[in-house]
Amino acid sequence: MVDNNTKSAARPAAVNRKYDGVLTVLALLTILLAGWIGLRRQSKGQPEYLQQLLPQATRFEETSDQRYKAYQGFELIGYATLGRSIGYGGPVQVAVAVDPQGKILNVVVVAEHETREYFDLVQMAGFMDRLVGKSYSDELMVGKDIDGVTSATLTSRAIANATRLAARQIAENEFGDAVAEEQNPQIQFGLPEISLLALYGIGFVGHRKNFKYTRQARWISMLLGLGILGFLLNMPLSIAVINKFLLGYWPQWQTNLYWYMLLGGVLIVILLDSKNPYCDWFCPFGAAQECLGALGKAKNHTPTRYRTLLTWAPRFLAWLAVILALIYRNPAISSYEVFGTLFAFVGSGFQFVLLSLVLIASLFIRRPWCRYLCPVRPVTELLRQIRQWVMQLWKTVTRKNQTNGIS
Amino acid sequence: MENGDAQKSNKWDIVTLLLVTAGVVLVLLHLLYGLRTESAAAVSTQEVQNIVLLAGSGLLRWRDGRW
Repeated sequence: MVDNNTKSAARPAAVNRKYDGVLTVLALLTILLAGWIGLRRQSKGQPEYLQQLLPQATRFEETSDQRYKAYQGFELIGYATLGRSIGYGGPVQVAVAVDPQGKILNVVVVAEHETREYFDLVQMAGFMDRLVGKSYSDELMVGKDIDGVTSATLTSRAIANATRLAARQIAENEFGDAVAEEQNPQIQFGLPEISLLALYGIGFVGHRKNFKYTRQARWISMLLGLGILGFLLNMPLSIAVINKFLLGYWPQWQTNLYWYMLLGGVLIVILLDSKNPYCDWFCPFGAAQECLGALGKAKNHTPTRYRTLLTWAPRFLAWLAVILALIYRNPAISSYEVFGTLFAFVGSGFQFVLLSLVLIASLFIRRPWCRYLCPVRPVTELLRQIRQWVMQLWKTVTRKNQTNGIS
Repeated sequence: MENGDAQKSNKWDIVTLLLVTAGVVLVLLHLLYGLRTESAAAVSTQEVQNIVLLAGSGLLRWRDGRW
């Protein structure tokens, strides 16, 4: 009787595990398919931007691939071309018009994949107008000769970089004046990178077996994450960042060292130790929920009846976010997290409602966002699962080789 | 006492489920809203047809062992 009970109790778990594996493989296959669809539907841009760039021009003459001369009657009034750089959500392409003296006349963003609300911030701040009147020989560096837009630094930096590249391309080809472009820009190592190193350090010490103050170390790490990565910098790990790297939109490492350290660090720790160093230790949004949970004495409340459904909800959302990003080749299109909504007060109406719901729920349920809605944790779980499969395969192959060697 | 605990647990199960459902609906609405603004990049019917045809012919080839 006892045996029968044990068997019947064990069977559903085994069946669930089997379905988990099948669904994980299906998710991986559909992600690959979405990547392929996205690549197939990439199209070449049309020079519809020219009239918008130089509305006073009556005629455009293509001098070479995507480089134009603009005329008003018979008078040459300027040149136009495209420049490209990597922003927050992927490549940002700008069309730049330069007058015959080398001054920037106009800048139009032709293609971008930035999060809508952040891009709107850049436009509302009139960032493109800040570039007008500058010369191709100017540095056009955000923080140096151009003021960036608060909360949208990566987007403003990408627009400035792309403008500089386009203007200098015109200068080199039309004026014969090649301005040496810095091949390797200066490595930017500041507060974000130092904080991240400190947080990894605290996590490393906190995870040591003999360390007595793990709980305290975790709280210090969470509060630092909340204060610095959250409210001060608004740089949490999001699905848009993961999608950006997945799509091959890798930004310059010298100026984006923080993101390489964050993503690379998490990946390395998962692959080496099968542990997630980010979510429970220094994710700023996780910390915000946990602070509220401490205030409201929140409990775990894991519903046993709907466990499977609730486990698969964030996995489904993460899968959907990756699939959409790959099909549209736009990392930011499926970014639904409410991190920026809390830390920078930027987001859609739905995100503000969602944020309110999550913050209220955090008072009673421990980390509701992390457990039921966040797309980052399922990605780390998938990586751990793949690691486990590789390890199992490795063990099987090694064991077979050893058996063959003995016989 | 045990009965009371079970009732309390049931109540929390339903509250959690409702909260998560509301959350998922809000996420889906936000994604739909984002996709609508991306209408210029929307997948065309022709593209969907091409993909379905390609996948279908691939499956038939696989069934007939003609890979």
